[in-house]
Amino acid sequence: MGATMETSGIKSSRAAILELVKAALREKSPSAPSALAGIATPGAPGTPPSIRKHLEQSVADLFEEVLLDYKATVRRCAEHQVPSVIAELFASQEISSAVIPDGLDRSWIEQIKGIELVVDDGFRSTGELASIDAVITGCACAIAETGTLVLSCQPDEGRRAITLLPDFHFCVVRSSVIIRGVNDLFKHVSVANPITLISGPSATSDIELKRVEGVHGPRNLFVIIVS
Amino acid sequence: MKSEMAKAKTGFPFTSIEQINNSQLRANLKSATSAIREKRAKVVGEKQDWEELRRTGERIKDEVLSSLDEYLLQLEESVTKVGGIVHWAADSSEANRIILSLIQEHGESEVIKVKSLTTDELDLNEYLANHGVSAFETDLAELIVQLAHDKPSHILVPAIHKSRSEIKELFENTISKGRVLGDGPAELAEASRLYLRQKFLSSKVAVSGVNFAVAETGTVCIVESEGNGRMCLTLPKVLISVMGIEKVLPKLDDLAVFLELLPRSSTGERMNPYTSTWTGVHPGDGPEEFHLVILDNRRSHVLADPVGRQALRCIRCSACLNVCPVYERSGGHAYGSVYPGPIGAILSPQLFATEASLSLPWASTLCGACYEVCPVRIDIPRVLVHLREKVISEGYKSKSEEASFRLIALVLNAGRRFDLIQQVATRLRRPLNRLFLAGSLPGVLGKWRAARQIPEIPKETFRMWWRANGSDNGN
Ligand code: SF4
Repeated sequence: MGATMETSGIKSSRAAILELVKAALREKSPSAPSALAGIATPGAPGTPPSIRKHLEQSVADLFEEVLLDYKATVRRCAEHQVPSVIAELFASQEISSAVIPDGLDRSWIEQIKGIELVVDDGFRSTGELASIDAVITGCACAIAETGTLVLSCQPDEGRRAITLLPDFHFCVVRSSVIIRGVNDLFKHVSVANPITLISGPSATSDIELKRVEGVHGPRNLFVIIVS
Repeated sequence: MKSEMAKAKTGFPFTSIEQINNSQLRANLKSATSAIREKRAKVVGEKQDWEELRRTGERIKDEVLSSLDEYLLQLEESVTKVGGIVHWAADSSEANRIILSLIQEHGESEVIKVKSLTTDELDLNEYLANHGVSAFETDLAELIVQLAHDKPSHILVPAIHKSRSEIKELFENTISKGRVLGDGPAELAEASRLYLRQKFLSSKVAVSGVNFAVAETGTVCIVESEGNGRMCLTLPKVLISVMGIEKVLPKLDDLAVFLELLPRSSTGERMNPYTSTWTGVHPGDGPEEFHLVILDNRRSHVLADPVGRQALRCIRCSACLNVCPVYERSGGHAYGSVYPGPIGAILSPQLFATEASLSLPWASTLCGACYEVCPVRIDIPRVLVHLREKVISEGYKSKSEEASFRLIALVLNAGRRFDLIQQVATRLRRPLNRLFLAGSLPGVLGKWRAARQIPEIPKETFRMWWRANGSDNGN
């Protein structure tokens, strides 16, 4: 077995817990569960019309609709328009600095004017990252049904801190990477890297249940869907 | 080390009287729970395969519990392989000791925390404070509760009992350093953002709970809304995560099932804003050291009860709280435990077995709404009845109660009959109310009455109301 702490006290708790668990399982539950079964396929006969409509929608349309629900800003465009769309979005906000991951397609940022751009080399301090206004990333997988960006530290997504500390996050998503539902997620991304699922700007409803966009994570989320 | 509240001598019947009379709390709770209920019903209604998902969630959890020792060993092996360090804690004092010594090894006297019921169960913050370590809660609601030296009252919205003007005053007296604040939720959230940002950037050690841990890969998952979780999981050098033994899942695909079930059941969102997973230590990204503390604290005892063990399927979504007519009236504090509401009524007595918690199985009308919304299909009413019988047979309750609760078990087992009896009682409400509420009942019944708040029998039964108002909301 794995190398746990060698301290004898801890070792013995491990053995004690496992012993208690084993002993506890001697008596079976009244209705023992059978083997794991799969999840039903949505869209089978008898699907209500509202859900059918949902299912027939293209993943990109559905993704956009759900994102808008989260109060994210969404733009749809063709590949060659990405630089101008990003530049235009930047111009509409008060942003004076931005960070990009090393693997980002540089043509995307060519048209942004008048801001300080830094490339993350992986060694910038968190204090420095916290003083930067915006971040621009790609996205290797997204989920339509839940409006989720799945970041797994790919070269054009960067390490986790760069999409966490700046207040504005601009994310470019190719429609080819959008999957429909959560159930397939781990067939598309590897957990070898840390994964962050982002569904809308950070939010809290802790005060009298009023939703407030943005507490600690980026308070402004811009998604550019590329067809 | 049990929580102060769990140790209190007062059981549910007594604390609840106090809480029911607090009208601010009741108003907050009512609007909160009904708002979440509606949101949940809407997003659950969108999932055509919801019932299948629930059954799958149930099966996965039952599978885990049925071979729990093997899955825990597999998890230990996987986490160790990817650079994590696994610790085992038999009870809360051992867990606290482990966490404290890890913090001290790094020479720190401050840690930041992500909201975690498990660490609340440990009374970790108090323990650390007694040993010279300050633990800062970073979830907005937990921060409010901590600054007010209060206790959480709801699993999901722990400060649900505080109004915005109370929060404004609290922040002005604590974190805003004398600056006067408005009472808009956005401005109050901003004040906490400014205050905590410095803590996030300077803290070396973070402590978190765990939502799910995958045995096959050693992947650990935290689900949150505000981004404080991401801060704690990404910025400090050392991460210490505490998990109850029941949080393990066999495979990654199982995790996907719970990422569908949890947010829809909990905040009523298709997906919560942020979900993080990490698989050990990732050089160049996030903590350099990851410790996983696996906690028993009598969960193995719960596991030994073939009926009661299903409480260990719970994923702490709080859907059962939001539909519970008793919770809506009493609030979370009345349960005197970190686990309030219907889940608390079955988990706390099994976990803590204190005198106060043993009265919790009676804190229910057995209406069954909790079971209907539970994403892992925990049959809470059934466990309640089972625990009532157990408490009685172990001699904690008087014989006269035994008889009356046998009766409840009987009517519950025949759902239709329960409906019928409630409807008959509704018809007879005037004469019955007069009899019960007037107070003086003869003999044993009189003694029983003296310790209890007897609600007036309502015009419609909860089931009648639920059928009319609840079930057409999509579940
Ligand atoms: S018992 Fe079920 S509904 Fe209640 S918190 Fe646990 S998982 Fe959610």
